[in-house]
Amino acid sequence: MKLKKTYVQKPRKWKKNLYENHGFLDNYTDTSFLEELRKNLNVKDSPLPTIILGAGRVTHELCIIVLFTVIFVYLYNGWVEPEAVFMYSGCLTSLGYILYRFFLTAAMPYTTLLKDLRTVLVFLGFGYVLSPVLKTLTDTISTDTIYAMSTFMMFIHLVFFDYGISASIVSSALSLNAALFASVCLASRLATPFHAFVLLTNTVECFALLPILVAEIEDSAVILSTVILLSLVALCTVSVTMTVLFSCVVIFVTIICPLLFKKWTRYKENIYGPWDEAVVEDQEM
Amino acid sequence: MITVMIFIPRDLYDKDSCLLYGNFALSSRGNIAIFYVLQLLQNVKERSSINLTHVGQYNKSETSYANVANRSINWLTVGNKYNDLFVKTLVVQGETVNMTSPKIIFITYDLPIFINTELLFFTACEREMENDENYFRTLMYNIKYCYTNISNTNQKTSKRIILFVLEYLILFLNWVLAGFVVLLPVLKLSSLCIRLHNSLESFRWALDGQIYHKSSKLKIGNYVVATLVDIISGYLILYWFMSLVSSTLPSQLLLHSAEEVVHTLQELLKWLMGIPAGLKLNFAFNKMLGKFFVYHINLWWTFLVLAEPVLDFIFFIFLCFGRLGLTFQAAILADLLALASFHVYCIYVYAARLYNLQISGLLALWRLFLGRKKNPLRGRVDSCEYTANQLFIGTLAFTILLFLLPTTFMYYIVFSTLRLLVSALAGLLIRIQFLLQAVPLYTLCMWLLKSTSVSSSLHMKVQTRKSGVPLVLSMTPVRGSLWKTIKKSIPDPVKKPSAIMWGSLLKSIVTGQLIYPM
Repeated sequence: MKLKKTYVQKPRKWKKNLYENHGFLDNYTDTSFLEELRKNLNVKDSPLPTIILGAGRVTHELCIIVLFTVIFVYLYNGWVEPEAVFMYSGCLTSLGYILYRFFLTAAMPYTTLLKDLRTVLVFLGFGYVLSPVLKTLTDTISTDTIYAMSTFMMFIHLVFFDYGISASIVSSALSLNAALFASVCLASRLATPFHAFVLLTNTVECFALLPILVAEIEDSAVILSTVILLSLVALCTVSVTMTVLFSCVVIFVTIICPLLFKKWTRYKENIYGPWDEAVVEDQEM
Repeated sequence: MITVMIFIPRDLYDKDSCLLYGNFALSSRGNIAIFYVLQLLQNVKERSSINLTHVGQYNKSETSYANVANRSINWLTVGNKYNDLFVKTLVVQGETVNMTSPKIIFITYDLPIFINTELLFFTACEREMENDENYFRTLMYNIKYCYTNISNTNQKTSKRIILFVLEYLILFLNWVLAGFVVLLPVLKLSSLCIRLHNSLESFRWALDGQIYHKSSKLKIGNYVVATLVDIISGYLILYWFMSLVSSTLPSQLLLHSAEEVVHTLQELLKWLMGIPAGLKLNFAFNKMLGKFFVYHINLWWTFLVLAEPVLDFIFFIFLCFGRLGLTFQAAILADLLALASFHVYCIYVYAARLYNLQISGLLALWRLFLGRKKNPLRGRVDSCEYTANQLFIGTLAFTILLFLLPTTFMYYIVFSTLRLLVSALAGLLIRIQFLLQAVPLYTLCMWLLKSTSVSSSLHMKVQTRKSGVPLVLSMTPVRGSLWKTIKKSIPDPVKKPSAIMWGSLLKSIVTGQLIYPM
């Protein structure tokens, strides 16, 4: 059955509502269709160095993990005395603390001195008291399981770490806890409780205190390259295969991924329009 | 159109004439009139103190009595023609009713049998909510009400003396039971004391029921037969037991078996401290726990050895009580079992509490691991900003608890199983006691012999169904289903042990809550 055509002229314009469009077919598409569509409103085309430095944060964290593992290997094989490790890492930490408190933050350093001292004492005290227990915890578990668990936990640490970008997957508590768990697993393989205590102190310094310092420092190519070089050199002394693998990963993460990211920006297609959810912002009244 | 139902005792057929005493009822809609005739008397002087109204008269011959109909509101005159009952005059609510219009139904019943049945009354009373116009129920109720109020004034002197003594016995029992109730929190631990308390209560209940006619004869009969069976079987078993162990001292026997148990437990702990079932448990923790438990067992064993002379005395008391019946022996066995497995109970409590602590700690620390915290105000789990201190200590504690869990779990499982076994045995003994008390031998015999005292339903038979003559039905009580009869005749003080809740039991085992005997 044919649709009965109406004889009403159609000089009127089609309006975007439901009650005024007599005479138009039901599937009529006006020329003003989707004229409010906007594409890629918020895309910032950053220059390549910025992207590389952003990816460098991940590499930075990866290098810290590698350095930590190297320290463990040295302690495990007995290539270095635990007292030496303790002293050196202690000195570095104090330097970092002074740097943080006096140069980078604006607040009065002396008010928080007592609180920081208390934090340090808690770390050292509990670590020292619990290290004999921690050393015997995983005696009966095979070494392979320990290594696998540590690797898995360090991976979780990398995934959930707070890189300074707001994302919902970030959970700084989980990343710190995962790193601590991994180090406790490794600590049980060492020779004496003092070794375990030293490793635990190193963990706290690397994963709990260092991120606070790093968050205050801006991205800098100099620091990044220093850290990468340091970890490559350290890894060289342990195993050449690992160095090669590690350098491959570093090149991939720091250079190849940003290049790809920059290249593929033109495929980005975010659409915005009046149909988006309203974003309510706080306003000072 | 009015219907008249007349309940009449069957010994009407044997009499020539008599006065009918009973009650009258009218249905709510006014179309059914019911006459309950509960007593047949020859003359007015025979009337006892029962509160019944004079509802009519009966005579076989044609001659009639002086017409007293004018004085009563509801009146019935019954006649008998060729052994068919019929109604001569009928007055309902003050109006004489024309004999042609109403439908008349006679229901004859055997009065002495009905007085004796108890279950019929109870069954009828159960359906109180269902049918308000249950005429049979009203009949039973009336019979019960009238005939159980017969006082004992015409009794012999000897019976009176016995009753007097029994009443004093009941008073004494009340006093003893009151004392028991005061000491109940302490005595609850020993199943022998509970059994003694129960048996004294049942005895008091039976005496009460018999003297003051408070409970049914069936229940008391059941109680007496069950107790007799109990005592006789108890004596038999005791005789057999004494013949077995006449050579050794009973306390030596007990000590010997307790020593066996202790040795087995020590072997078990040594096995756990090594490599149980091929699992490698944490060395230091394992050794510590094992040594702690072994110390406990040694302590208990020393206590038993020191208390040997007291054991002799206790055993002698047990033998005395054992003569009172099989249920008492079961209670004594339950007590001995609890005594012999006391150390298992202690170790189980330690292991369960440790496991519970560990599990709840792990759960809370797992939430900390993920960066979340339980919010008791909202009853949910929220994310929480922990400080680095808290995270550090929390993760260390989580690691320690997690790796020590297999050891604790091993000990918990082993001692939970032992405890469940002991509990199951104790539960079995309690149920044996219940069965022995509740076995309805008397009711079963009565039921098998088709005695009318266990009848719980009625059998109606048509006696006369001719045109022009009122319908005559006869009603006899018959026995009902065996299971219902048994259920109703269990003595009152006997309480069924509570059912086991399997769901909550499983939950308690998984979370480490303590299991109490069921």
